[in-house]
Order: sequence, then C-alpha cells, then structure tokens
Amino acid sequence: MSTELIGILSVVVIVGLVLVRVPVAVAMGLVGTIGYGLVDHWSAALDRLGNTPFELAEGYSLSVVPLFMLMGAVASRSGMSQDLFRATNGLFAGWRGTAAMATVGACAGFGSICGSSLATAATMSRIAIPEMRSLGYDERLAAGAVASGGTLAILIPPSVILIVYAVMAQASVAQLFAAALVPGIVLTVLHVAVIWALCRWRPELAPAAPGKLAWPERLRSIARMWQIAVLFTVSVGGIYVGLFSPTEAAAVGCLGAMLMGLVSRRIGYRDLAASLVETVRTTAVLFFIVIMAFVYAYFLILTHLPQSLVGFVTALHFSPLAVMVLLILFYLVLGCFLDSLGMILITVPVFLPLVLGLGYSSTWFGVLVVLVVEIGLITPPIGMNLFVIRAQQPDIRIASLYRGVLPFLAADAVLILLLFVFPALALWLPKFLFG
Amino acid sequence: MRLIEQVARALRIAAAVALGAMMTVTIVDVTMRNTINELVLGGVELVELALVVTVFLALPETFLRNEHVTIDAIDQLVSPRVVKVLRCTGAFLTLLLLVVLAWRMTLPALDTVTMGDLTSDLGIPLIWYWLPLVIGGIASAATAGVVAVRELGTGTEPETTYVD
Repeated sequence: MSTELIGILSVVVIVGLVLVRVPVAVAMGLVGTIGYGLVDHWSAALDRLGNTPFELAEGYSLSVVPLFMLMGAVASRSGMSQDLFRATNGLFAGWRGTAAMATVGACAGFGSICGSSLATAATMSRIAIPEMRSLGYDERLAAGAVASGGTLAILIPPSVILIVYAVMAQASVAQLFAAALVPGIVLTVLHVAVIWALCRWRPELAPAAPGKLAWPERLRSIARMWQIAVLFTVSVGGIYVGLFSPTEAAAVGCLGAMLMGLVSRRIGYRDLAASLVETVRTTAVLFFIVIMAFVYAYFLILTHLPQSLVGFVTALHFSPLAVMVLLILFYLVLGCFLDSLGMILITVPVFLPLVLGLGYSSTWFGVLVVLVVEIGLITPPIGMNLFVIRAQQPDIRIASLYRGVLPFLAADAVLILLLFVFPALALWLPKFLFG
Repeated sequence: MRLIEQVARALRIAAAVALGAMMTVTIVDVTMRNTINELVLGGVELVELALVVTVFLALPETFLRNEHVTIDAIDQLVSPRVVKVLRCTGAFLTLLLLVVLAWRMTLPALDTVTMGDLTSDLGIPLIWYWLPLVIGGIASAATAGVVAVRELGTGTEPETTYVD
C-alpha cells in the first residue's frame, strides 16, 4: 500500500471514528500514531506521540488562547451580554424585527470579546430567545437569529478558530485578526439585511415595530456598550496598532474585564474563580485536540499526501477558481459531519499547500476557511450551535431550528462570493496596518 | 473513585492558579516595557511553564466529566444498546491512547533529568516543564480508566464544552 493511500485512508478512518462517537482528539491521536507506525517505525511513532505535548512548552504564541477565553468568560459573568442586547435594541428600534436584529448585533458585539461561537450562541440564546418569544416572534426567526448570529463570533476577532488556523498554517495571528474584521462586519450587516428582508416578505414572523427612539435616547442606549467597546479597542485595537502582541492584548483585556466587573460590583471574587475554572477546562479540551492534531499532522507529512494532492490537482488542469469551488463544496459537506475545530485541524495541513500553490494567500484562505466551517455550525445533522440552543430552549422544535437558519445561509454565500470577487475585503486591512 | 475526583479537582485548581499567573506575568511584562522600557527576565519561559501547567493539570477532570468533543448524532439513528457499545468503545480507545501517551511522555522526561537540561534565561530545569505533562498524563489515564469502567455500568451523559 502506498504511503499516499494510507494518508487518504487515515482521513476516512478519522471521520468514521468521530461519527461513531470516538472523541475527535482521540481519533486523531490514534490514527496519527498508528499511521506513523505503518509508514515509518513503531518506536518512532511512539516517540512522536510522547514528545509532541512538549511542544506546548515552547508555544508562547498559544498562550493567547486561554487568555482571550478568560476575557470572554469574565465579560459574560459581568452581564455585558445583557447590556449589549439592550443597547442594540435601541440601535435598531423602529424597524420590524428589532429584537432579532438586536440579537445579531449583540452576537457580533459579544464575538468581539469572546472568541467562541458556541459560547456566544449559548449566552445569547439565554437572553434573546425568551425576550423574542415573549414579544411574539416566530420561534424560527428567534432561533435562526441566535444560531447564525453565534457564528459571527468565530469570524470577528478575537477568534479561537482563527488562532488555531494561524498555528496550523504558521500565519500571523495579528494579520488574520485584521483580515477577518471587515468580512465579520460585512457578514453582520448581511445577517441584519436577511432579517429585514424576511420581515418585509413575511410580516407575521415578527411583531409590529416598536416606536422609534429619539436620537438622544438612542445614543444613550448605544452608550451601554461602552465596556465592550473599551475592551475591544484596547485589546484587539492594541494588536492592530502594534502596541501589544496578541498574548499581551489578551492579558490586558482579561485585566480590563476583571476590573470593570469588580468596580461595577457585577461580579465578585467567586465569579473570577469560576471564570478561571471554566476557562482552564475549556482550554484543556481545546489544547488536547490541538496536540493530537499535531501528532496527526506529523504522520500526514510523512505520507506526502499534501504534495501528492497538489500534483494531482495540477495534472487536472482545473482553473484555480474551479479548485477553490470544489474545496468549498468539500468543506460544506464535511461541515455536516464534523465540528469546526476538527475540520480546521484535519484539513488545513492537507489543503493549504494546494491553495498556496494556486496563488492564494494563507491569510485570505484563513478567512475563507473559517467562514466556510462556521456554516457547518448551523447545518444539519451536526450543527453545534443548534444543539446548544436546543439544550437551552428544549421546547423549540429541531425542525424550526433547521428552517430558521436556512435564510441566513444566503448571507454566508454572499460573503463567500464577495471574498472571491473582492479579495481586498480581507486583505486590505492587514496590508494597511502591517504593510 | 472519590480519591481520583479529589485529585482531579486539586490539579484543576493548580491549573487555574497557573492561568492567573500567566495573566499576571504578561501584564507586569507589558507594564514594565511601556513604563521603564524593561522586560520581566524570563517572562516568556514563565508564561510557557504556566501554559503547560494550565493545560495538563486541568486535563484529568475533563476526562472525568466527559467534556471532550464527541459527535453524538448517531444516537438518533441506532438503538440504545448500540449507543452503549459505541460509548464503551470510545471510552476504552481514550484509555488506550492516554495510557500509551503517559508511558511515552515519561521516557523523555526521565532523559531530561539525566541530561540536566536548563532553560536559557532563568536556568529552570526542563523537568519542571515535563512534570505537569507526566502528572497530567498519568492522572488523565487514571480518570479515563474510571470513565471506561463507569461506561461498562450505567454510563453518563457528556457535558457541553465551548471550544469552537
């Protein structure tokens, strides 16, 4: 059996194991180690498994992940998500579908300090769905706005998935954060536009618009977002202007969130301790997957599968655009079965050399791939955001959830198209900031 | 059983303290750089040590609580008996990986003691970086063993962990 064939089979085996309930990390670790043993030597495979976790001890750049997650955890416990929802409600007041639009805006805002889509969906579903249902919103629109709004968090920096992509692609976190900002804002606007169009087309989905707010009142409402605006400006803005490294920005953001919570007495020291505990557990789960993905990536390098894939696709003489369309379709199908982190970790080592060979930049591809995998968070049968909402609001029918997110997929499709037509959408800001 | 739970909880507390230390060292470093144009000596080494402690000492409890990302969509398609078999299989494969991992991490850790390797800035013996890996690895294998035995009995529902 050729090493390339072993490489291809390994992808199939991992997906198969994951689908029969083997944890993603375990599937990648076992397949990576066994594959390494088959291609090289068993002792080398076991040495690789034992030595790979130590790379964490040389991974200063990875420390950004727990620190940004801690900032999100503290901000969530401080009640900043409720403030955001009230503020965005004021922003959109006067339009039919105000609360749904406010939900999308609040998700985007919360995403700007919390790098996790699932945490954003979980937080906002607790706040926004009961509110929308009490106002008489159709449950499909309410659930769809939260589920799709949650996906904005992994595009809008800081984003855990973007950091993981940066590690796998050996790309700059700061450049990726800059590249994802404009597409993230555009996607937020597109989601709001979807709600506006839905409410125009089917007015029964949302109650009649509440009265318009006068501008002073509207501005007062928007001012409630100040804490999140300060945190985003200081931490992510600090990276953009070169004041902080990503790790430093995350640490400063954590301190800022803690001080704001403590000074305003919205959290106490118990909440801080709970945030630390919540963060270390999530970090451990995430990093165990990343370490096992490294084990698998070492095996993939041995198989020469990425290079063979590049040679195979080159021999087909497809245009770069056609190859990218095929890749997107592949990701969309894979997104129906795998979680976003697993998708990034399994596919980036295989596909990135191909994409670079086609002349695309790793920064642009990072934004595209994160956008495509985020669609996987809301597509059946494995749409993690939908599961989170269902866990919090068990009386919402699963069919309503699936139907609720469908219109928002159009917004994602439009952004993918825009990224191809105007790559500068992602590449302009990093070029402007970092040259 | 209770002893393993207590050990996992104690390790998790140590991990949380390490995360707090990571944040503190980084903030002191930034403050010193922007005020007196100095850096914390070995700041990067301390952050890396804190990261290793944060990740590996929190790991045992995550196995005990079934928090690792698992796709359970198949539960809707097969009988409960098949689900139970799949859960047991997943638990034992996890145990297998962790036992091998703990064993193979111990060997290079012992080599580090023999060689007496140190970090470049602070001269920290590298064994201090390996210790959390080895302790966390062995404790994780132990907690995965508890979970595997538990799955053979009644089983438990996995919890949701937000990593995406």
